[in-house]
Amino acid sequence: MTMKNIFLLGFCFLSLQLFGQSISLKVTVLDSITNEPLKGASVVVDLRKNQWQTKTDDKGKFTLNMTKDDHAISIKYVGYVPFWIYTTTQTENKDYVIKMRLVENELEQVVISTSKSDQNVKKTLLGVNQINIKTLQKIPSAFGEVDFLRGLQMLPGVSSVGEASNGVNIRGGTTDQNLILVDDTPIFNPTHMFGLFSVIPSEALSNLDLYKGNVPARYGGRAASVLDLTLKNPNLSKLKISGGISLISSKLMVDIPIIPDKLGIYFTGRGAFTDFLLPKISKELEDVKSKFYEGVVKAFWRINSKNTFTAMSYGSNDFFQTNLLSSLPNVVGNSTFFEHKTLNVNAKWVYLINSKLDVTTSFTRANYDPTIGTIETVTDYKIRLKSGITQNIYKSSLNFQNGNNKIEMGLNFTQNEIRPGTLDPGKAFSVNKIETPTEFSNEYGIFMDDEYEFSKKLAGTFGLRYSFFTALGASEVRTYDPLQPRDEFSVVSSKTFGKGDITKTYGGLEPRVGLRYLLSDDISLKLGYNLMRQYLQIVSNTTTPIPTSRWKTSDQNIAPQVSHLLTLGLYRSIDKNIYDFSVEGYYRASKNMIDYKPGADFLLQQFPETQLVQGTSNSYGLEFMFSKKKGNLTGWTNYTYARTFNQVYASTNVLELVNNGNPYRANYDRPHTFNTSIDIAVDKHNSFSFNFVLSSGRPYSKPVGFVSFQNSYYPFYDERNNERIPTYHRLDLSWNISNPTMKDRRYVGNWAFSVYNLYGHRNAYSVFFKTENNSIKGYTLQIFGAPIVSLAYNFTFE
Amino acid sequence: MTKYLPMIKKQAFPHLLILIFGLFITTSCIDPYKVTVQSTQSYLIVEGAITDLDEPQTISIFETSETANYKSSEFTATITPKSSDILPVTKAKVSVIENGQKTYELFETQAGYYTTPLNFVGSIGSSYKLIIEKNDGKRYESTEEKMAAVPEIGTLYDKYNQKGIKDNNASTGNIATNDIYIDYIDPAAERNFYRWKWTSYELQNICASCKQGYYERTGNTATSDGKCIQDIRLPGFNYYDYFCQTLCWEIFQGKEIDIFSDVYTDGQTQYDKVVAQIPVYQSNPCLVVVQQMSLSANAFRYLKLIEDQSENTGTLADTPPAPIKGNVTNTKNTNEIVLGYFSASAVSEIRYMMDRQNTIGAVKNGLFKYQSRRDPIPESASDDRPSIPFAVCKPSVSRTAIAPKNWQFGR
Repeated sequence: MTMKNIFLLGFCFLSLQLFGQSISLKVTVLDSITNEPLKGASVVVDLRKNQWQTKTDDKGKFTLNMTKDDHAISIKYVGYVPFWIYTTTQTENKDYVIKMRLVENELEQVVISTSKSDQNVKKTLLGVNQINIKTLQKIPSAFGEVDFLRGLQMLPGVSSVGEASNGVNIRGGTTDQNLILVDDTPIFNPTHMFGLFSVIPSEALSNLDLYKGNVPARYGGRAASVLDLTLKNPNLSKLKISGGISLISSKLMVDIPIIPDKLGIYFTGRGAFTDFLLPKISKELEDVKSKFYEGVVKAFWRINSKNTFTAMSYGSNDFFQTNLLSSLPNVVGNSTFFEHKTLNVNAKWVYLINSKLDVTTSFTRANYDPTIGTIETVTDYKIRLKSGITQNIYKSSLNFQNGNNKIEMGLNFTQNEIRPGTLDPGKAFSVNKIETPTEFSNEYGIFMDDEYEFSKKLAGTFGLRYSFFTALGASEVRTYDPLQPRDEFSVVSSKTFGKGDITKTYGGLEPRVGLRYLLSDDISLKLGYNLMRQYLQIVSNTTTPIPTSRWKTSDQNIAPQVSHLLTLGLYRSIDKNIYDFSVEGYYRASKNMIDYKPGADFLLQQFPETQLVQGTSNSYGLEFMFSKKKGNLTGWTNYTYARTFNQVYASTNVLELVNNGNPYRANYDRPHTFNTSIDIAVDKHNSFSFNFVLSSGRPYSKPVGFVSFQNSYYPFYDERNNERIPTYHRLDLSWNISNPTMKDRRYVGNWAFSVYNLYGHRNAYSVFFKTENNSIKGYTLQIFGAPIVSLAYNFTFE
Repeated sequence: MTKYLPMIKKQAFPHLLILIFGLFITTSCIDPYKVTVQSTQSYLIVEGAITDLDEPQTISIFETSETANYKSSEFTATITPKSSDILPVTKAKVSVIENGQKTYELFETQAGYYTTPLNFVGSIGSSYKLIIEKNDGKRYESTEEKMAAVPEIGTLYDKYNQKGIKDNNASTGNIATNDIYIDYIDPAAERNFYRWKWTSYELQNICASCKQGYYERTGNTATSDGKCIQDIRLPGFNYYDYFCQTLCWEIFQGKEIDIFSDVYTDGQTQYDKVVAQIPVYQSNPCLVVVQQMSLSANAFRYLKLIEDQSENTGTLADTPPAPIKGNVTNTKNTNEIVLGYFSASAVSEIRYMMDRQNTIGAVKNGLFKYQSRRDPIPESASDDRPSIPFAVCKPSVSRTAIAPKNWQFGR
């Protein structure tokens, strides 16, 4: 049967030929496990309920006499997975025995808990979500590009400042408070083209774990959450090639077993080079240029039955030229471009000592180099402001399992090197070369997690991490008069440290506890507490960090962020794990949150503490989640109530305090969010997915008045984030057609047709005011103001 | 879509791509957004600069109304503050103290405007401080602003820019410009802050327009005023336009805040800095005045914040706005927010007669058509009115009949 036939059968209600050869089908319907006949299963031909409907008899049998033509016969029985029989003009008289499977025995289509279906209720951790790659692929996304960040935003407690947000906000945390790991390597800039696409090649992605409640003690260094992305392991048995093409990008993955069952390697990459189309669309886009690509190489070597070795390298590269972002200030240039590249490598050795004990040792190096540049008007030479961050991470851990006791303990050591910025004039002669000193620091962690079952009902995870941080020279460390605002004039003393000298240390214990109590077999109550310290953060003065935003470690003048999170949850699984329901409430208090002074400028600033103020952040929320994990219709729906308020205290000067020192809403504070994501498998080859999102608009600052100044009017502001932009809502659709030829071949093609923002709601990304002539105009900026239709083709060959 | 395929046989694929791709890109855009702002308190606005130019220096002092209400217009979401919401501060005692020693009393020339006495000329290297005593007894002081030297503008030239700038008045949404470029040598080993301002003088040949009426002079001399006299015998949409009696110049001022710091460029010659984009309203020559001014570090910071909050907005990552602190404070209540800035700037000025030989497609005397979006309709002589009067060039902030300094006649 071809695609065309499905179209006709499904949608066009093609009238049946009354004349022609006829066939007779005798069908017996049985339970797949017990082989009991299923009585009363409904049988419908070609979806024509009125004319072509019958039911199975006591012995689970029915007979159909029909024309010898293309037909689709559906057999449905409550609690069972529907079954379809297709006939063609070639089909002869036939007896069928159909074994229908119970829905509860199905593998989960949507995995929004962990791999085992009852884990949501039984595991001891709270606030852990897992999305598998199959689900991500089906979630409708803008331009049909598989995007983990957009997928994540369908989960409760995950929000962002909008569609061009460079990262997500989890339970009231800033984007840099999430540790994003790709195969253990940290990602510093998670998006391409300024938030439009995420940076992970979807072909290689295997799993995504989000820890927004209990974070296992093995993770450290960020205050809000951990997003652990696991890449596939190379296939050790057969060659596999997969790829795809969409309007935005092309991708390819080649998986090669070099020595079967011993050594395998894969290469995968995605590239987007379609910006040449932009000027043809609109004159205004003449100046926009964008190219990006990313790739992964991963090798797996099973040395022997006790040792395995994995090596992975991930790289990504972006070029983005736009007038939609602020330019490099104080340089006479005529267009601004952004270049950023990531290169991460990871090597991991797993040694299985015995069936109960294994040791994992790994080395990771992560490097991120963003550049903002401009072109000197008079010469066309490029001037670049280069910056970068490098981390070397050594990690070793021991896993031990014995009956009801599971222990993981280990050490890690991270070296940070931050290059805050070098202005490189290249050949340009109007600009000086300016360098800011490289910043060095070390972070040490020692941890242990113990999962222990006290009784059938009560179990818990007890984690403890000790983290220790040293800021290192060479550097010039200033001491400021504590009663004055920090600036050039309030410096009391300044001390110069040599290379490697410790300039400041911080550290402390970080308990991570999760307790689970089973109220009944399918209802549990959980309580969790987490403390996390963050020594490395982004300092930026924009609503969402831009790719070139500066990373800064703690030092004498910038204290580490410390966050406490308390979570309480109730979990229920219904109807043998087909449905899951949970409600989680949390309260998070963090101190030393970073905000910037009005007019802050971090570019090439040797002493960023003069531009910063620190404060507290408090967030709380209640998340309701309902999911159906099995059957033809799978998906979830959730409602979140969440608030985040920041308050800045560390200054004596009122005008250096944000919002006069009073609490103010965080940029991503959106009280109400309602998300629904549904996937409906129509048959083996067709499935439809829908997303619906409804969310309070994010806050913006509304002017309190307008003043005339130098022949023009300007808005002036008082309170931060005192208003909200209009409510956000959006419906997306995708239609996935897998293997439309329906032939069992080595080559399988899939089509994905998607419409993002189906009813074209003009969702505001921001509200802003511009001075024009002798008046001021208010505007909203939309990122996706209309439906985005896209079509992608993917294939696999094995 | 199949239906249309035969029509786009050639290059069908890229076109289809554009079609689908285009759906999103062209729609990523901006919409007007309406707000209503109700003020709850009054703010003092002090604005002015002491320069080293040999001309009177004016400081303006205004106050916003405590009950000001600002509302966006229905369709374009435009907020035009009412003049009644910004009130002049009159009868204040205003003085400038030079170098902490010599006090100059300023006198009120118009309501809210205070001008320096004739014996006052600002000088480079001197410090100035503004003192305001309002008649309600509140006393305000500015910080001391030191007038830094400013390098001379080196070369200045203009280049025709067909693409130009956005302009809602133009039919295409864009208007071509003459871009003014300058070079200057930044002084080495000192921190310099710059600001550029421009003014242009364009010839205007239509000095009055009457809707449903005729223009009549109120006197007989060349300078006597004139006005429109309504005549209901004319259709309601009837316009008559009247030529100027004398040469008449429209004055345009750059509205952008154009500032620069030499933090990355200390001591280097700066080439091809665009300091003005003069719209090509017409092909007539015009006079462009470019001023290069020095700023103090704090004045630069102040202007940078204003720029960020009013011009550098609507990007993918805006800087959230915040209250902006000027340098004038209430001596009794330092937490009171006073808007505006009192600065001291040295000025290097070039008055450039731009012949516009390099423009393409501009029309002679096209300014009127640009401004009123129609060709002028001169009244033709009739039996009732055998001679049509010329209109007077009425001086205002945007119009003058006195030839600006350095205007070159006959070009």
